[in-house]
Amino acid sequence: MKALGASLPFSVAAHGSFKRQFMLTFSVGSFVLIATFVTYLVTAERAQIYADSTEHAFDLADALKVSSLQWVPGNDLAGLQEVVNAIHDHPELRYAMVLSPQGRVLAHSDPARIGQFLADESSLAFLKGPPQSRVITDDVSRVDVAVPIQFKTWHMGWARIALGREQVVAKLHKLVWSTVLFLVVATLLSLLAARGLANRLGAGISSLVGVADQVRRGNRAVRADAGRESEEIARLGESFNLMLDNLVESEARYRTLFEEVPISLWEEDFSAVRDYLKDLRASGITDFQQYFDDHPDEVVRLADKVVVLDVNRQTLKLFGVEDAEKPHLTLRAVFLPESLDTFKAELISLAEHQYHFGREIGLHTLRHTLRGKRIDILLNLIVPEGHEETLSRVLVAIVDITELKTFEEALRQSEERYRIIADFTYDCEYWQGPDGCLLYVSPSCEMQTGYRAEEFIDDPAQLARVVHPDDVAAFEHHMQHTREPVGPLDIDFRIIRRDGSTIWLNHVCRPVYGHDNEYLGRRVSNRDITERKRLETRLEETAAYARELIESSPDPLVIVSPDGRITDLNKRSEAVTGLSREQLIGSEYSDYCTDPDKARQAFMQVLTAGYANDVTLPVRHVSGNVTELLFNGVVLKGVTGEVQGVLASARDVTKLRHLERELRELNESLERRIEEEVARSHEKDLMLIEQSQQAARELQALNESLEQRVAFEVAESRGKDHMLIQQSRLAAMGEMVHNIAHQWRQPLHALSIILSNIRDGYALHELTQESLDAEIQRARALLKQMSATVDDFRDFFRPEREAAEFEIAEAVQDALSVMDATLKDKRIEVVESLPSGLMAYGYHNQFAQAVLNLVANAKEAIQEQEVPHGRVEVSLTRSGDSAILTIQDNGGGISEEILPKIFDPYFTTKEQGSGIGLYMTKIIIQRNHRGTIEAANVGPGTRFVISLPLVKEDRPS
Amino acid sequence: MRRLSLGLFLLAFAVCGRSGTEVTEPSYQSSAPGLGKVFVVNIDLPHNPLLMYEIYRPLIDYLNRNVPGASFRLETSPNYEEFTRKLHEGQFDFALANGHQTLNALHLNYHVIAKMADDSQLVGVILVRHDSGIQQVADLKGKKVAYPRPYCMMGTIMPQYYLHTHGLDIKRDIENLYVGSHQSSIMNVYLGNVAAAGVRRPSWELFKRKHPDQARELVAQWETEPLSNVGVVARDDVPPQVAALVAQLLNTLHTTEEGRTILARIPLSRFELADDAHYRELESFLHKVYRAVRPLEEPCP
Repeated sequence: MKALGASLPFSVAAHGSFKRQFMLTFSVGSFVLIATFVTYLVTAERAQIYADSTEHAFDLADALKVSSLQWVPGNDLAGLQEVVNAIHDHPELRYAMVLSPQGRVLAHSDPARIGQFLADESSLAFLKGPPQSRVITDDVSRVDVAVPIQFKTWHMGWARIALGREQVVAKLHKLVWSTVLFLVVATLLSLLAARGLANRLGAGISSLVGVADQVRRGNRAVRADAGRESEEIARLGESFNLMLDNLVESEARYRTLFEEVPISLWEEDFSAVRDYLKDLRASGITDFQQYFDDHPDEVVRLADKVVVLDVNRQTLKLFGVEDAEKPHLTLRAVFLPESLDTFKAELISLAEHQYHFGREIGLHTLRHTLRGKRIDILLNLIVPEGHEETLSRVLVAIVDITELKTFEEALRQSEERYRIIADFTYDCEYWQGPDGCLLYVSPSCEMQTGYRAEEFIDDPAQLARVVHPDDVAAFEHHMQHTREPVGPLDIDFRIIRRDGSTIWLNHVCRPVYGHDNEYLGRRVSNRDITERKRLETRLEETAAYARELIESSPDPLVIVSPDGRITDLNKRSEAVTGLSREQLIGSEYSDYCTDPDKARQAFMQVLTAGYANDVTLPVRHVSGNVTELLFNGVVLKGVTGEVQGVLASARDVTKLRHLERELRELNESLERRIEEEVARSHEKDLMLIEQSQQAARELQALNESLEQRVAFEVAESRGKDHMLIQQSRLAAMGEMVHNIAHQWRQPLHALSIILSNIRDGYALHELTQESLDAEIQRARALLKQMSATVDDFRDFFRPEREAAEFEIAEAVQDALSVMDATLKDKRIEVVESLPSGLMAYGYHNQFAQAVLNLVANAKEAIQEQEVPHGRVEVSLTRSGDSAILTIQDNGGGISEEILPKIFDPYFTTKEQGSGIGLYMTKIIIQRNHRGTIEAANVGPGTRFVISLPLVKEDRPS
Repeated sequence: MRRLSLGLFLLAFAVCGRSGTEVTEPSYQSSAPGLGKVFVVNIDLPHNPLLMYEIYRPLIDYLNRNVPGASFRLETSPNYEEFTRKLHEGQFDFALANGHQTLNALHLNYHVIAKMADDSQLVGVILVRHDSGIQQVADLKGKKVAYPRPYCMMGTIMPQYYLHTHGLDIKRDIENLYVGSHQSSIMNVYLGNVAAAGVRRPSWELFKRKHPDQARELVAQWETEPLSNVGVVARDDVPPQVAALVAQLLNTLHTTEEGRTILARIPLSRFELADDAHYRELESFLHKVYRAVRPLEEPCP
């Protein structure tokens, strides 16, 4: 293979152009990239330098502000000036000043400005603005900032600093010129590098261009020079050579494919057609369909202009052409008249830039070889990529489908015959594939179901939905079996038609297999058997009716076959023989008669005479008993008159035979039975006496039971009372805690003071052993007092088990002492008159609790009414044999409507009340102390009056 | 190369292209543009200037809102020397000064227009321990007495004048100890280092609030005559109508909620009108004290 790369002439113009463009692109690209990068860097650096300068000015102004804050309130100009002077020597400081809010200079780096007012616009503008740090001026030469001097919310002035930027500018200039120099050097270096690269690449590329030119001219043997393998151009040449090798190989493969493929391939040149279509477009034709319809001659003419470039061997074979006859193979030579329509369609497709065209058309071969045999073909026209504009190479592929068409026609006819048979069947026929889809449903299904065949095909589940609900289970069970290719199956079920009526179907299905024994699903035939079912039902009903008649007969009935064997019988017959139906069916009837010969004679008589009447035949029971039966028999014949058997009916005459004997025995025993009845009557009298005594015993037992129940109820009632007392006590516990809190408040406060005294004494070095002992003594006394309080409350709420004498006044005092702190806290005055010496019998604590309930009630009423001077009067007096305790408050009284109910259990008007306080008070007074309690509105409040029997006069036993 | 040159120019322009706005220096003028007369109000109370500012700035804001056509600016003085200097130079238009400085102002072209009330608080008290057994002034003979500083008016001079007028020769009969502050004076008598302590009443009241337990062991055995409270002076060239309006606003300050809030910060119950004559009487009294006890040179906080 000859390497042409090095020897090909290289165009000076092309070489120069490539080199210049490469150098220009490389240099400019490098310049732009570097310039962009350094510009970004310099810009960012510049912004940072300026920002640092501004921040520095703010820092200086902040320092000035802080230093000035102590001097500004006093308007101490000297102090402020000292502050300004302290930063006077700061590098690049243009000026520093402290200003009043109105712009008066309080201190300045130029002392001559002190006392003057700022007058320039920018200064006046920032003075008018809100007191916030701000930049007044920010340019290349100076940054001027102001920071407000504030104390709490008061704006007291401004600290203003201006810094020059000469050093910043100089630094920036230096940076810029360094950057420019760097950029120029980098650009020149990139230019030199580009020139070197362009020289080397240009030589290699021109060599490759020469090779490509040779290949384009058809020289497949030429190859690029790949001598310098290390260079990219050399590797490109290698790749190019490899590509050429692939091209040669591909072309060979294509040629082989073209020739060997079993499809007729045509390579055609439509260039002339392209030119024609172009002219048509230029002349304004847009509707090519219309045009070619109007000019059929042009279609014929254009067919002649198509040049057949090449055809493969399959084409020659298909059209019966020898190699030598290839030049005669033109479109017109193979076209049938109708082929021109296809060609016209091709033209229109190409005119509309559609480069892929497929159609079945009819062509015929050369007449002189196959004598004009017509063939059906499938034609595909493809314009290869790259030839759309010129249409110089068009591929036409032709497949002979003549046989296929013949088969299709035969199949179509076959399908039509099958469909006619299936469609016009009376039964509902369908074919269900393995996946459950319906492949075919006969139209007759609509007659049966009311649903069209398409509805079942679209939704196979419709088959199940029409099934009658009572038959769904059986249907689904059947369908489970049909999912596998098992043999024919059938089932009867009902369906509900679209009009709502119900019919019976006989469903028969069987598997369907293809030629290769592939399972294709099931073919199903549904037949309407509604009428048959109706007849079957009727028949069953008739049979059942007949059976019922037979079974209901009081006489034994037997059907005997002509050979003397029992074929049917009723239950009465089983009773006579003592054998079951199963045992009797098929057995000789004469075997059960005590005289079998007589039985057989009677049977023969029936067969011969057609009947026999009143034949007495004793029949033996399995137990050995014999029943005398009176037989009547008739012959049973079928529809055609043949003898099917004998129906024998028998009547049990055993009883009749015994009737006279029983009558006699009855008369004989009559007298004896009368005597027996008399004896039985005497026994009844004895029984009545016994029953009376039993009733007396039960009454006594009932009385005893009743007493026990009364005792039980009483005990239960007492238990409930105790429970209520306990509930009341628990409610009082809350009150107790509240009262303890009040009782403890004062000693706790005193304890706190003692602790403070000890601490202060220690802090002031005053704490001596004596003073510490004294304080501890005081604290102990207080703790003892608090402990006693707890003991008092504990004793008060301790339940008592035994009744005892108690001092009424003492119990009342106990209640009042428990309430004492609370009442004082609420500023409620208690006036008491409690003489001692009045003793009652009962429970000290319970009574005290009752009093406490009443006092607590009074306290709440006073609180609720917000009475300014609350007052509770408690007085105890003696009235005959009773002690009278009166508790009167000024809490506004109780509504007259609810007054009668206040002692009812669970009656309360308080939102958080339990309603058992006053009820328990009443229970304690009345039940446990045999006293009375009454409530009434008296004066400004309520008065409770408790009357207790004094102990000496009336002690409860 | 022309493109290259253009690129370099653009780079230089981008880098150096910060706006070259014309630099203008601030300009000045001698008077405030658009501002009316600004009256300087000086507070002659030797406390932290910021604390004084915080207390009295609301009062200045009140005047600014209620005196039309004029504005007031608050100044504080860090010490008496500075206040005295400003007073002599006439730097402020109004001033709140203690009695001593008010008397000085009367000789320097200022006149009294109002004063703080609550004179009764401006007394000196002489404390002794409950358990000291000291009942009479004469009981102090031969004992030590503590004072804040030698020239403290209410803590030292007035108590010494009281002792003088009640029969003691304070230079011979007792030993005078100057312990630096009112708090120190109280602690000296509490700890028993001295038999009695001179202290002004507000300091004693403060001690009672902060240390009630310790204070219970002490008793203010004697109390001096009251002095006049802080005076409000106006320079003589202040327009009379402005001075009168300021005096009136101060006199009625306690009648408004805002005014009471301002007074509570000082703290003070009210201002009241006053004139030079009131302080002339004070001057006579102080001369008497001066002659009896010592020269008046330094006021006392």
